[in-house]
Amino acid sequence: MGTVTNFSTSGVYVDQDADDLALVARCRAGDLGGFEALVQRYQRVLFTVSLRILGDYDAANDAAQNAFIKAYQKLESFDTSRRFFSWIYRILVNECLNARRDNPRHEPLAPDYPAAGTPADLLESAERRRAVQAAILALPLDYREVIVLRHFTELSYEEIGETLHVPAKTVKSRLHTARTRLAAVLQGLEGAR
Amino acid sequence: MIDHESDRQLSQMLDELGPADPPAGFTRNVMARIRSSHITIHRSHSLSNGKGTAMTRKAMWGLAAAAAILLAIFVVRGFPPAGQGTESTIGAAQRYQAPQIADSDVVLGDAAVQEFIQSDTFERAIADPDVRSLLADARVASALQDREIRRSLLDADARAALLSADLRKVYDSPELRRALDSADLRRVFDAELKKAMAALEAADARGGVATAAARAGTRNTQAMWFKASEAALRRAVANDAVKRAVDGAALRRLVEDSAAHAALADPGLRRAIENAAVRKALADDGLRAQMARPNMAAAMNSRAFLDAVGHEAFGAALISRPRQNR
Repeated sequence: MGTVTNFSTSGVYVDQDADDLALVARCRAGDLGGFEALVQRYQRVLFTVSLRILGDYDAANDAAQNAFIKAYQKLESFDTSRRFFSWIYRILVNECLNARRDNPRHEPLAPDYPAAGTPADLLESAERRRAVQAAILALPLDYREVIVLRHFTELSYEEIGETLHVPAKTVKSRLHTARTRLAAVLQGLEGAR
Repeated sequence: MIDHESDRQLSQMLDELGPADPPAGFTRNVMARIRSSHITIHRSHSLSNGKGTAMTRKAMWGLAAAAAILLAIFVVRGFPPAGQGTESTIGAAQRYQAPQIADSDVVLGDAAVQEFIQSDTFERAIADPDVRSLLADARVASALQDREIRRSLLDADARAALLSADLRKVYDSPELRRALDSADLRRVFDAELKKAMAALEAADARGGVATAAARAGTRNTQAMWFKASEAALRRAVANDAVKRAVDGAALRRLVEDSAAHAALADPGLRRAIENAAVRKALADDGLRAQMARPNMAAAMNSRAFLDAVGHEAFGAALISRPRQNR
């Protein structure tokens, strides 16, 4: 299986490979199993992106599920010369925007991931994650997207550019601005580490 | 500017935030929603050739014109166009259709039917006077027992197209009925369709050089079926024997009439008439008469009706309901 890995080896969330096209072809031929395999492959990365953009667990779940269902409905319009992830990502972002429009007052989620250390460490770590998530949510969408795609999917600049339909240099520029803003907001936390 | 140390710490904090796992059963829920809602891949807005090329407007119009004439034939005489020796033609055409879910794929126990009958969904449907009136008609109830028809009715675009006044105008045209009822037209059309499909099969057999994806895309969209039908109809209408026997003007009017254009170029209608069960139902005079009733559209668009139609047990309930009332 000729794997085309678009992601770094650390924190890999997606293994995008040539099988995507084969799975799409199976779906188009009426085999739901092909789509189920695509859902399994992309559920984690899309849910992560959705959660980081929306900051609400239930809303992220709804948006990610809706994105998959809309992708299934529109599968015939998928251009097989493009990456499946890039295509479904656009659908997901639209779902996230709809979710924000319909319910703009989501409370940022306090991430609850296991961390080692004393109770005080855990509390501090949870507070820090909450602050980082809140800082990401405070970014304008253009900046939030590049931060999320770069750090939580680990796409390359070129792949992010393809996904967002902007040149790679625009991605770099936005990422720099986004990181500068995040660093400024999180300065106090950095000092506490 | 962001200094190196701040940049490093920021990366560390983002790494700490990390990925998130979706809720347990995420995939199962997505697939259940797709299955339970009978969501289908929309094939009508753009027909992929495997390279993602959208169908041209010209080709779309060609298909719409072919669909127009085919629909009229289906409505008047049912589907498939009867005629000796067409079995292989239809068989070939069916190979270009996306696989459909068979009734045998869904097994409903009595308990499931009972549960549905006792559900709010069913009660709301039965309580709606328009829906009740709709279901009181034996032909409508009979048609709704067909899962494929119910599935088509869940497609809002297809439902709207089937209920459109423009479409009624098309299939209520007596001139068109007379023209399409001609045995000469049907005989020639059958023969031409058989030839066209044979040519299509031959081309497909030579298509070993084509990519699997391209062939799969073509099959899914039924483009080849429409293409063969279009060619067959064009030849049939131009046939001398047909010209002598049939009012060609009526056929021409069908594709020239703006209302017919509006109805028959509708992607929703295309989706609906690709369904053999819907075509069969449309050929039923009584059912068409029901569809012309003013409260029909209201009933078919009511939330109660659509919720009920969306339920797998609906067809079974329609059959079981009289038993329950005894």
